[in-house]
Amino acid sequence: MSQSIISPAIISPATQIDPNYNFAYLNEQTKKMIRRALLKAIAIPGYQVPFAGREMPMPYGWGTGGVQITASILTPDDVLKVIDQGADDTTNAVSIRKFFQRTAGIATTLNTSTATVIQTRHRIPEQKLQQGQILVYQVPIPEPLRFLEPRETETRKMHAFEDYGLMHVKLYEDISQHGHIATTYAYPVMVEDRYVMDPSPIPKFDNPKMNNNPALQLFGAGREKRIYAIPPYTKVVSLDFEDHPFEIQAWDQPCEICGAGDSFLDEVIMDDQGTRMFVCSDSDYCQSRSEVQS
Amino acid sequence: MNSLPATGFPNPSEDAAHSFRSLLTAMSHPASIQPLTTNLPSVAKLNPAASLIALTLVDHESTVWLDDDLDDETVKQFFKFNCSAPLTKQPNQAMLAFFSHCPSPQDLSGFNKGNATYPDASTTLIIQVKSLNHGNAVTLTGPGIQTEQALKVDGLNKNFWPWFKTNQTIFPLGNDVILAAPDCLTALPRTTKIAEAN
Amino acid sequence: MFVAVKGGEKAINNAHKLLAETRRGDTSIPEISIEQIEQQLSLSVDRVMSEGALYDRLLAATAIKQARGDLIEAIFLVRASRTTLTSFGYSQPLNTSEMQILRRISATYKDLPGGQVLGPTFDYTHRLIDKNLEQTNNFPTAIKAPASNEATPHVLGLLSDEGLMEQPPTDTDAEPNDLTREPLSFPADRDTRLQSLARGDEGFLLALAYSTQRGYARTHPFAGEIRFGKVAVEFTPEELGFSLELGEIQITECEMVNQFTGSKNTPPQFTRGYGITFGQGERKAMSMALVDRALRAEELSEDLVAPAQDEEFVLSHCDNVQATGFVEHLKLPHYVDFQAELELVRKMRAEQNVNQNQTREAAE
Repeated sequence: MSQSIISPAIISPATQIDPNYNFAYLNEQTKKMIRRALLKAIAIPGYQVPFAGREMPMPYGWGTGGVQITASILTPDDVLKVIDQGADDTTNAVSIRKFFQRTAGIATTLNTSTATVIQTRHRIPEQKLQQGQILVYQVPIPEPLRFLEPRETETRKMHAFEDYGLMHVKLYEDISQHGHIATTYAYPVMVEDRYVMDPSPIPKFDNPKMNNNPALQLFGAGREKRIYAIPPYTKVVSLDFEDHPFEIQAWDQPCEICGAGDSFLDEVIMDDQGTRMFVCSDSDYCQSRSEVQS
Repeated sequence: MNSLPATGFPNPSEDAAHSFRSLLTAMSHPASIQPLTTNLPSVAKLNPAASLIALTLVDHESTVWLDDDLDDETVKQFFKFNCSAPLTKQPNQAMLAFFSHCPSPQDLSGFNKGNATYPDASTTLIIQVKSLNHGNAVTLTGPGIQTEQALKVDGLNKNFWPWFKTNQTIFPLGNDVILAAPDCLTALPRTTKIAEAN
Repeated sequence: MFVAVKGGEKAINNAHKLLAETRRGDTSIPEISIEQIEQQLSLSVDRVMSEGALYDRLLAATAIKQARGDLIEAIFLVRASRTTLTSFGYSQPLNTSEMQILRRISATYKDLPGGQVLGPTFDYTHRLIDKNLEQTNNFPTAIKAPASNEATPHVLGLLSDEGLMEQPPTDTDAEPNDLTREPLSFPADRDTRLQSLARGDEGFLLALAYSTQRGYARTHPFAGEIRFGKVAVEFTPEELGFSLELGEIQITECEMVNQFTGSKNTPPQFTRGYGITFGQGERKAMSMALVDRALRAEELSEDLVAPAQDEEFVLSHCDNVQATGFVEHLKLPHYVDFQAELELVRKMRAEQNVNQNQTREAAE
């Protein structure tokens, strides 16, 4: 892992751990169970490993899977970044970051390249990740086939027999009906030519970043009790068709704050006349670009 | 060397966090060499890396199989006392299997390889080797390896790599291997492919 | 402007303070105590313990106070607290036939050994608001019968003796599954189903149970027996090898008797559905028993036609902590996904306009 030069200003230092809790909240036995599942997940890229997810002190659907993974991989030396919608200051990101400050006394940062562990909901940072970094995704519905087939007994068989016909039919129906694949987020990917995987509800804009990424990508679904992973340098391909290749979103204008033309933009409504402003969804990317310019 | 019952980690939570992180790195960067994060004594024929792995991963919900050389009272006490591990002599019931030395392909045939719906049900094999610094080199590729990765191992028998090649062909089924040298460890998940064996 | 979406941390801290203040309410009114909740809202406490899967009356009462009386929120608090506790092992199965009975009724026999004991029940009360409760210390004193030493055998046991009841499962020595340790997988065995239902939401099970009575998988049920009372909890420590009594808990148990016309391999007989809760939870125990029986459809070679018979559907959706979390997570920001959808809808509309214009031009 390359040693980055860390400016102290961008790290909130480690703090005292709440003595009522074990390091990172989970007891050691729970961590062992999750740790075994994580190693299996890495060994079978894209396959959903069942794990006995615990009830966490935040609601199911609010990142309990990601939180359990982060709690199981953190060491006291880590620097944690938490984002939701690409931003560090969205309410749920704030809440999760505070949880780990309190229970793990961990150093935190808003800076993508400084972080050793990044927990995310719905985005992959714009800044390229490095080898040694770990990206932990919060996943609501880990089963990419779930909306085509609600039964776990059936979808498990489909994965077993690599029977992904239903998924291709669905995507192709979109094309014949709308001229496009009408999936804009949680766009399914094929991992190492074997498992179709749900990338979590990231915009499809972020899908290409998953492919051959030097960082380790871990996915946790707490309510559905599944863990899966993409090891570093692993082939991840968004499903598409020869006559309708996969393409990502593009905007007509750059970010109105930092001028970036290569980032995912959020639309902010400015007034009741419908005036809109387009700005980077990745707050760290936007801010660091703005700082360089000023 | 240690007549008292071997103890666990001096700082259980912190030591386990560090050692797991090195296992996580090992599994996600196959054939990379990970130093041991806590100094542990050998426990009879169980070397420090293997005991580190045991303390990190084993608990009362993970069934452990020990080969004949490890199947002695000191090692069994270590597993029972520090890990509350259920021990089994049935290879196909083991979640983790510990080998004092490299097993033959026949020895490995009985371990659980997972099944089509639950490939994760397979046994993880922890094999002690003499060294990961010298010995015959192999070149490996696969997920987690950017281009290719050379690995030198002293202590594997000549049938290991052919067995590992076969293991690779039944993906997503198959066994994951962790090689435990006295001073370091490395992992060979079932996805790792052999580019060339010398 | 853009700053408007920032400042999450400050907003959260202030919201939490406001929540605490709102929970307390008007400070000129005395604060409710945990003991008052435990004693006077005891059925709330019972439900929170049951669905929270933890028998601790004062903890449940504290959770109810903290949750401002929102029982699902209180159940969630108890479950999260449960995660931090160390598990020492499993107790011996409860011997409910040795229950110290506080209430016991059977709808299938007019009289039976042990008798019918109405106990503290809303049944047969007229549901008229009792204005006397506006004053405090206003309640009648009940005349209590002396504790009976008469044995109260299970009603379904009496039917079994006659050979009319299905035989209990034979593999009773097998360790039951624990879904807090092994994630749910399908098909699920009956032990797993029962554990899942016991933790399940009362309202969801009530509605499913009701649906079976209205013809969505009719099971011809009779309330064979409902009993509520105290039972001893025993635990055998590994190192001792004999069991110790840890204490007493209150439970409600319901056994439904269901007519069964028989199948290829089984003669006509009665089958059972089973329900159990901590504390007094008759509605839940009865609902659970009806749903348990409906879920046995496949085992009894019955036609699978209704939601209450579908174990994947029932077990995947009966947990209210999971359900409330996922439904309420829609409150979290979804700017990014919504942006992605906006972009697609705009693009598709623009293309449609172009197509229509082309068609119109071609027509003109």
